[in-house]
Amino acid sequence: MNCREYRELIAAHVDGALSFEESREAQSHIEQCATCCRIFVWETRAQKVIKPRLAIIAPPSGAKERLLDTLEQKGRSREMLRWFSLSPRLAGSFALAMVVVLATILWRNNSQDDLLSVAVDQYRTVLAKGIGSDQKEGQSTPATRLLDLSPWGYRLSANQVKQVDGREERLSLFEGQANDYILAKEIDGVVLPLSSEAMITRAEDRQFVIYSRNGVNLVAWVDNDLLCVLTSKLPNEKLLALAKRIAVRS
Amino acid sequence: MEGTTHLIAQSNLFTFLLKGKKALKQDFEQVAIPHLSYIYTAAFYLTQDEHEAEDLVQETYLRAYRFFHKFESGTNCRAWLLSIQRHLFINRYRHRKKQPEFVDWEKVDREYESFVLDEEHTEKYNPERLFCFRDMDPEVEKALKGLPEEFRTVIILVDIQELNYQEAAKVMKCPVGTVRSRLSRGRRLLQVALRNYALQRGLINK
Repeated sequence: MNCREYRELIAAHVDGALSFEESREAQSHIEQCATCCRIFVWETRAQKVIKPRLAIIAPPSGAKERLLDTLEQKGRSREMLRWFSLSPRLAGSFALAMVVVLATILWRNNSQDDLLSVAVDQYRTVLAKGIGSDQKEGQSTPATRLLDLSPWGYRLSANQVKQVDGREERLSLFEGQANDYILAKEIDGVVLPLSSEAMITRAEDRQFVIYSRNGVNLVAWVDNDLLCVLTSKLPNEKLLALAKRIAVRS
Repeated sequence: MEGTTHLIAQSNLFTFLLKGKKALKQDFEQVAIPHLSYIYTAAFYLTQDEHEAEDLVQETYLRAYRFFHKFESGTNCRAWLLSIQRHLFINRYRHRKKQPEFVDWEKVDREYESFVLDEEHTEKYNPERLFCFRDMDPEVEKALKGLPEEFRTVIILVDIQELNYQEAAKVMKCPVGTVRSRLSRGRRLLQVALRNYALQRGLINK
């Protein structure tokens, strides 16, 4: 180590911030160089005097309060801005996704409100005007695949198959012994309708939607992508019990 | 009905997040605010103006608050705050410097050795006497402010803020060797400035 090199690290030598090896070299140098040794001694004494005079300066009066106020105000708005500043694209995509999800939820709720109320209206219409023209004379097979209510004492009265919005809709009207009618409907590829006016109950490892309007009751459930709907003036409990029996059989 | 349930769940999540933010704010106040005087001192010496120093401190703390989730608990918070401050200082204030600061090191070393190595001088004016004159404190402040920024910064970080050399190197984004060298030269410059003050005041003879 030469004098030039030593003078570049003299501060670290004075502060004891050299590695063991470096410290050994530095010590060896000042033992051989009187000038550097004098400077080392001077620097050690000078540092003990000057350093305490490099005092911490207190902030101006009220600075802490002003800082806390600023953190309170700007910190809140910056938190929101941070999302957008960190990744505007991500934030924008997220916002768009949220709008889509919300719109989908609202649309879904609205359209499935329609599905349930349509089923109820359909029941009234079918009872008032008849089901349609698909039934052939002597035909005893319901149009519906699963919803055959004959095992439970219901007779097939009429049935119809039609296309609604690109999906096959199968209707079968069953008549009970007490002149009670049940309209059984199956629609392919429709999810379980949800509505703020409907109840949901769980049984036989699936969900059943229970809906009522103007004295007409409805129970719906999904079986392998097939939406099954029973609509009748029978009480909800009887319809639900029947629906559960059908679900178990399937 | 399920759609409504989803919306309720989302609002509960936001409520939870708000509670989390409050705890974060309290944590920040406990961990970072106690270093305010140190951060202000560094800002004061960097900007050399009381008002700009306070602005720099506010910006430093705002940025620290924004990125507090990145601060590793248990590490040196003051070093972290000083690192943020230096970054802000370089970006916002440093461009105001009109010309590069040039130091005539030959002249500085000559003056330095004249009072450190002169036996007759040092017998009369040893460090304890040379740097302990009455009313010296404002002159120490003035001398530090007068140093070129790179030397001023390293003295602020190591001698005032008491960071170790590795921490100072991290704040300054330079090798430890550079910290050592700048500190050695910075202290030398400071002593020359203080000694010149003592000469001007007639407190010592040349």
